[in-house]
Amino acid sequence: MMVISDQSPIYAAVNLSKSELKTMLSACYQCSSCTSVCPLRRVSKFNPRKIIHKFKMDTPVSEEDLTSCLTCSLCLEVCPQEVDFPEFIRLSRKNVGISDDNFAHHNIFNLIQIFMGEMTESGMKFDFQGKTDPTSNIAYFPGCIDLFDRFLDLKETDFHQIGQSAINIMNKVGISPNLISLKCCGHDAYWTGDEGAYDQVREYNTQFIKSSGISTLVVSCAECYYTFEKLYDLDVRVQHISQFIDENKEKLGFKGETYDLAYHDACRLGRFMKEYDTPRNVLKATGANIKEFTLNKQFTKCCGVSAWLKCDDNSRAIMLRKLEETAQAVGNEGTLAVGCTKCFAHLNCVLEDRKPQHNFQIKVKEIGMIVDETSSSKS
Amino acid sequence: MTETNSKIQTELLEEPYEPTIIVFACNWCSYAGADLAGVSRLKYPTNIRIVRVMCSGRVDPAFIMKAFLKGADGVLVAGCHPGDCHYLEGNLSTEVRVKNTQEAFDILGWETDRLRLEWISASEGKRFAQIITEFTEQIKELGPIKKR
Repeated sequence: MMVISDQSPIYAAVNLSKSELKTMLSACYQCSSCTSVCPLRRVSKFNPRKIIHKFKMDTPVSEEDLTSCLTCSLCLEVCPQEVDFPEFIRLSRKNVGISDDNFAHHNIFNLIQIFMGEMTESGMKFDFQGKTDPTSNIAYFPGCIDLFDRFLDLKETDFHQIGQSAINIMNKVGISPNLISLKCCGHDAYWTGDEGAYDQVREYNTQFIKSSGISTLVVSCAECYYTFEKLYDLDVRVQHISQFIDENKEKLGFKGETYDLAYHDACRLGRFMKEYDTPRNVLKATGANIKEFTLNKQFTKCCGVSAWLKCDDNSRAIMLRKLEETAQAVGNEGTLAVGCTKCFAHLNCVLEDRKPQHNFQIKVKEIGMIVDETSSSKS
Repeated sequence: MTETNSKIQTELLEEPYEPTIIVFACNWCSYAGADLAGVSRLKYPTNIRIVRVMCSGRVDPAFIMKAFLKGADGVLVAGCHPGDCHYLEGNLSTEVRVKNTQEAFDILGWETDRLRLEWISASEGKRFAQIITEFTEQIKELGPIKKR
């Protein structure tokens, strides 16, 4: 019996055949816990238990099922047998391949990842205000936020501000970060099964980080954090921005005015990296009174889309549910804090639709932005 | 003697660099412009491959990215002059999109000159030929895309 453990198969080059995939699923005894918690199941006919059952009975997984799964890993959290369904989906995607039509935004973001791997010789270039120092051994990597500004047609959402806030915070603490020019982390390519593109960016990034001589890499996005920390083989310390703030929160001089706030645990930060308390501690330090969702921490429902795959009616319904939960917790004009750039993008996207879809006045903010706004220190 | 022979041979074998250029031409103005250039028997380089779209506003940044990934050396997006769009303001959104794509190329550290936006109306066959000639020269100067 093979139950997937912490020893994730990514460390070894795997090319699992069908029988091996079956062995991976053999522990499943069809209790249907996964289906009962699946966020997608709340709005569609998606059924993880049935997919496993069918696969064991030699029916291939349909492309619809393969692309619908959010890989949010909530099923793994409740599975009594620890059958790694997201990993199964990932490996199936790798074996079967996903056609371009299944991606949102005409697949632009995954094309950019491939573009970065194949065509460009250097990493992304960033342009932020504030003090940066190329020789510093603490590096900051903003991720693909500048590209979101270019290609996501969101008029009221400023992604650039995420990076700017992080740099402001680091300056306030007294650090001039090395604004490291990496390529995309490759998270989406990895989870959509395009390991060729993932390997290309990983090789470049690993080499660049090693040659740059940094000791700490701070990132804003939960996906970057998960990828650099868990998938890459780096010998530097990788920190999510909330962990960085948690270590330095005395220096930030919070005003301490209390306000209500809801917090959404991003799957890559929460369930994948087990980071539940640090972001909460940071938010509490800013004076936030966190109103918890009924389903929180490891049982948080996903924000609705992962890896730019298939943003359809179901995704929208999940996002609207998330906003509904937020409205119940903090009121219709409250604030929702997230620790992941992607959650920030997806939830803001559905918020900008407004009427007739919904009437929420909620603000979705990234942790770094909230901290920067509430901190009174001068850089 | 053998040296000159081999030299001549390599020179004969070495084909000059001919770039591939994808032109997204809008149905109402630029495609008709290209048509006029053909009907008027104007000469322009044969490096272009025209993709007819109903409006230049249909051209998504993803199409441009994909063209480059599939081996194009340059991409030209051609639409109606501002104010002439058959769908009123499709070409204005093209302008924004192409500008955004060029900015994205800047962020990625790639040559923005390989992507160009031009307004060509149905009566501007001469201008079409001229732009194609000019753009082909420009791409030839930039040389082939270096893949990693």
